[in-house]
Formats: sequence, C-alpha cells, structure tokens
Amino acid sequence: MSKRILTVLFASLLIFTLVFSACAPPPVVEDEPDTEEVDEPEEEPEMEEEEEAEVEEQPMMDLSGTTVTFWHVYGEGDPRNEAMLAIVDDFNANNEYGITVEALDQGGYSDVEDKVNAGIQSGDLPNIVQAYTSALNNWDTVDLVVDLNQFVYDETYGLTEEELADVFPAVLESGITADGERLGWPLSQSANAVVYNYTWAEELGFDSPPATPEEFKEQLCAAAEANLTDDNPDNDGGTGMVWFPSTSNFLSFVHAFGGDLLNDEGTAYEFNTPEIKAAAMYINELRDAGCTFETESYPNPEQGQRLALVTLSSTSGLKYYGYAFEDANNDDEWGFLPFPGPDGGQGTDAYTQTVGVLKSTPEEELASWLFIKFLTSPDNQADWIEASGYLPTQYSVQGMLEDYIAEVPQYQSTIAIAELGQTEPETFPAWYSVRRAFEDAAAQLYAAADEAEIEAILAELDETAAELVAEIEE
Amino acid sequence: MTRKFLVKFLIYLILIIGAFFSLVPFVYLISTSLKTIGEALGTQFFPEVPQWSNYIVAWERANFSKYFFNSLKITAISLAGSVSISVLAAYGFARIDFPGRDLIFGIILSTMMIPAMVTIIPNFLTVTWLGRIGPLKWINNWPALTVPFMGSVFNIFLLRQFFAQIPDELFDAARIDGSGHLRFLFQVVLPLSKAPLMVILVLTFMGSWNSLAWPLLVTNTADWRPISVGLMNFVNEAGQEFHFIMAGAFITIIPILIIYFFTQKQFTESIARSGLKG
Repeated sequence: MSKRILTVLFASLLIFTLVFSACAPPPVVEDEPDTEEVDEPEEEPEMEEEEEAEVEEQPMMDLSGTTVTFWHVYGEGDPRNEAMLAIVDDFNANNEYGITVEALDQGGYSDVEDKVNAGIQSGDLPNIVQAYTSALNNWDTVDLVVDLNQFVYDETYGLTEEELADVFPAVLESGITADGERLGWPLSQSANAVVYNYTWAEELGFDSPPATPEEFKEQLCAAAEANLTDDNPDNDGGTGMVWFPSTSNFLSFVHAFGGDLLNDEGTAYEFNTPEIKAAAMYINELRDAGCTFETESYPNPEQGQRLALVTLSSTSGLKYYGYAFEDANNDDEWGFLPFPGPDGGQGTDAYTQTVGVLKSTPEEELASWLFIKFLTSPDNQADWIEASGYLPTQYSVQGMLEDYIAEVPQYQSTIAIAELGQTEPETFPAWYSVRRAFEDAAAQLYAAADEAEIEAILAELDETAAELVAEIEE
Repeated sequence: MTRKFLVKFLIYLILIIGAFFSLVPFVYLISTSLKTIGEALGTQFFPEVPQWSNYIVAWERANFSKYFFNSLKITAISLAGSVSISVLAAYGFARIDFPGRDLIFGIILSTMMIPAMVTIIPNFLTVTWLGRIGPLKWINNWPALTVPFMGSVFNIFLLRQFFAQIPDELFDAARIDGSGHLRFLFQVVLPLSKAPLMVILVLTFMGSWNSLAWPLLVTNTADWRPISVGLMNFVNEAGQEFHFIMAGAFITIIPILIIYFFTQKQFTESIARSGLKG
C-alpha cells in the first residue's frame, strides 16, 4: 500500500465520518408522542358524538388520541409477530376509544428485561411490557407496575362475571403478589408435560396411558425391556424415559405428587416435605430399575426413534417432536399427558406469556388495559394460539380450536393439560435465585443413594432458600 | 537427522491436531446448516441430502436483506470513526509531549479493566441524554449504535505501542524537511503501521458486525438493527431451529471471512510484532 493510497484512505475515513454527522436526519421524536396530537382525535370524528352521549350516562375517561407502546418478544419473521401485529392492527382500526397501540419487538425476554431496567434510569419505558412475572415482581419493588385488579374488576372497563368465570382458576390465581396485587395478565400459557408414544405403548400391551406412578413405571420399564431384548442392538441404550433433572421436570412431578414449594401459609419456601421427598424417591426408583436414561441434547430424536417411550417437554415444543417423528419416518401416534401422581393426581409446570402495565398517566394505563383485554378476548386468543401453538387460558377458547386441531392433531392432547395450569411462585421473593438452587438440588437428588441423603439435600435446600430470601429482604 | 525429523513430525502433528479442532466447529456449522430439522436435532454429523434451501429460508425469515444492509452501514461508520479517533489519540500519546500525558494514558488504559456489561447502563443513559439535548436523534439511530465504540481503548493502546517504536530520527528528519505532526502522521507513521491498522480494522469490524445486546438496547424498531438480531428469530423458549441458525450464522460470517482473507498477513504480522500472541 503506497503512502498516497494510505493518506487518501485515512482522509476518506475522516470525511466519511463528518459527512454522516452533517447529513443526520432531523430529529424525530417518535418515542415521545406530541401531546397536541395526542389530544386530538385522529380519525372517525363521528364517533365523538356517540362517545359524548355515553359520557352523559356514565363518567367515561376520554381516551381518544391516546397512544400506548407495547414491547413484546416476537421478532420479525416469526409467525407470532405477524399474528400479534394483526391483532394490534385490528384494535387500532376498530377500537371505540380512539386508542393507538404501537407494538415493538425488543428481542427475547432477557433483552426486554435489560431494556426496562435501563429505561427505569432514563425514563424511556413502554406502557405495556411482555415479561416473566418474576421480572414484573422486581419492577414492582420500585413501584413501577400497575396493579391490574383495579381494571380487571372495574364495572365499566373490566371483565364481566361470565368472562371471569371463563378463565381457568389456576391462571386467574397466578401473577398475584402476597399483597394481592395482580402484576400481569396472561396472553396464553404453555406447560411442561409428558410426551407419550401411544402406538408403541399399545404394542407393549398397554391400552391406556398411565394414570398412576405405578402404571407409569410399569410402562417405562416394559419399553426398556423391549429395547434390550429385541433383535436390534442399536436401541439397547434407550430405556423408558429420558430424564433431565431440570426445575420444570422435577417440579412437575412434585405437583403431581401433591406438593408445592411454599408452606401452607404461603409465607416461606418449604422443600423438605413428604410430597417432594416422595417425588424424588419415585424418580430414583425409576433410575434404579433402569427405566430412565439421559441425553446430551433435546430428547426429540430419542422419542422419534423409539429409544424412549416417554420424554418430558414444554407443550410449545410440539412442532419439534413432529419434526423428529417425521425425520425418523415414524408414523406412531403420540401426544402430551400430565405427569401422573398418586391417587389419580396430575401435575405440570405451567408458564404464562404474561403482559404487565407500567405506571404512566391514568389515560395511558387504562388504554393499556383495554388493549390487553382485547388481545386476550376469546376470539383473539384463539387466533393467537393458532399462530403460536401455546395453550389457552379460557374455557371458551378450547372450543374454538377445531380447525387447528384438525391441522395439528397432537394439540388435542394438550387441552386437558391447559386447565391444570400450576405455575411457579414467581411473585415470591428471590424466586429466580431459589429456582437455580432448586435445579442444582434436583440434580443432586437424582444422584442420591437413599432416603436419608434425599432428606439432607432437601433440608439444605430449605436453608439455602431462606438465606436467599433474607438477602433480598435486607 | 532422525531427531530433527522427529521434532518436525511432532510439531506438525500438534499443528494438525490443533487445526483439526479449530476446523471442526466450522465444519459442524456448515454441515448443520444443510440438515433437516430432524437431522439437526439428532446426532449425525453430515446430512443425508444437503438442504440448500435452508439458506434461502434463513435469509428470508430473518429479514437478512434489511439487517445485512444495516450492519454494513453501522460497521462502516464505526470503522471510520474508530480508526480516525484511535490514530489521532494514539499519535498524541506516542509522539507529543504534554503535561500529564502518561497519567492520562494510564487512566484511559485502566478503563480496559472494567467489564463491558458494567458500562451498558451508563452508556445508555449518556446516549439518551445526548439525544435529548442535541439536534441529532441518538436512540434508534446510527449515533447510539456507533459513537460509543469509536473511542476504543484497545485500539489506541495497540497503535500507540507501534507509533512509539518509530525512531525519533525519522521525526527529526521530517521536521528538517518542514513537516508538522499531521504530515508526519500521514506520510511516515501510517505507511509504517499497516499491520496494526489492519488489526484494528478487523477487530472493529468483527466487534461491530457481531454486536447484539447493545443494538437491541438502543433500538426500538428494525430500522437500524444489525444482522445478529435476525439470528435470534430462530430461537425461542420452546426450542431452536438449529439448521436455520447455522445457515444464518454462516451468512453473517461471510463478510468477516472476506475481510480476514484479505488482511490475514498484516493481522498475524501485527500480533507477532506486538507480542500479544498467546
């Protein structure tokens, strides 16, 4: 490279920087809508008369021209993004209040969390945010989150008794703090469940899916035995169930065994309980009988290749199982089941796709709720579910999914699981830290030799959880 | 002779093993990018039938046409700013005597010890504030994506070390010929510093091209989001579409490979000279 070329290159870089600075576009204040514009209704002026008439009858807040921003986690190219935007467009075009919603994808959940954390400092916050309930709980400690109960039960803008009765009780009880505040409202949910191969089970002599832990063990071990004794040496490593000691998997068994993670009063974590001990001992019983095995990655191929009769997965992983069976050229019938517990108990670990409202003006807060109400109305939830594959949160939506079930038959099996809806204690202090400790403990429990060791691990987990809560409360 | 051969053999063997382990992830990336989703979720290393269409799907679904162009713009601005600022700052620290020079350089160097994650919120607050007080929109625009990375301490340090090695006699000779600092910088120092310039060019390019967390923080729409954001479309809480992720990843690294291909000689030369290897 000659001196001349280098000089020209360097000068070009300088000029390039200066030109870009000089050619900057004029400032566009997209983030802070012009208040004058907000106050003026932008479309359908004839609606004003109707609204005025209603105002005389009841004191309704004037929301015309109110714009709210909604940060969600579904990026461009994702079918869920398209479905979400279609609902937003519908709301913007047809809502009777003159509200405009600006929906913006902001990456994944952790990205949204980072952005809100940064926004708390800078003041650039959305009105509606999709987040884990635990994140909403954290933001509530700085008085940032609106208690949605004021809107949910509002006579004018809230849900009717019929609409409330339509929501699954477990879902209605989720996302509530110890003080009774409702931090979020679920768009939909998914659940950790048992993926079960009906065809193979039938060939093994089982006409119905397992309803108790004993039946579950019998079927798993029969599958393991079948793989070991058949002529195919390639499947000998596979047994009945792929087990990964994650929080979700272990917690699902805990729920099935009637356990919970909080004490009866709901005032502290409690792990050293008979139910949790029974769940841990049951899993180790499966291990000792040689009816479980572990994989390095997602267990979908093992399920598709009949290396496992049962694997454990989120219901939203349905399509990936479809791919795995397809790839293995396996036409077996399969579907999702709840985790089996004693005396017909059933369990799952449900996760909700939750949205919360951040504090702003009364108009924007109300406008945010009205959009959420529209977004989660049964018709829209049905559309959302068809695009996302998530589970509904309302009874009436179950009956609206016939076309989707015809297209994806395995989805039918998830419907019953949706009602169980047992969620994690995300609004309880330090849940994320305790969750990690719980996952570590789940791995230790799976390696435990006997009941005494299990008890010791659970007792230590109690201590750890109490310390973590104390740290937060300090 | 036999001993010499044995030593050489061992060296080559170690190098071959090293090269093998370095190449395996890259081969895995290409191989997985050509698999079906089932094959990608499984354990087989090579696809039965290469799925070339994965690249088309990845390109379209991740909106790469838009993000690719955004990344090019962001990277070009970052490069221009970073090289300009680093060269001028490094020259000042290397060749110009001013009070407190070494102290200031030491303070600047010490900021390299601060983890990048720690500076994210302060940087965000700074760019937000600058956007509010100035005529230029920063958030969701190129300044927030590029300006914070123009003053790279590592680049300044690397160039300063090179510039400081240039003999004083050259500067004296240039002064006798009537040259000032700028002319000396452009006509003597920079031509002698091709290797470190190429290093900062490649490193700045890679840093800018691969950034994800910061662009997501300072953008609210896709207007200025870079290519790495597109890759996230294939990841969700239920699972990952590995075949598309790998196809997308391969698309995103092509420019880096091209840049490195053209600058590898200077790059390795510079690393060797600066004693930064190992």
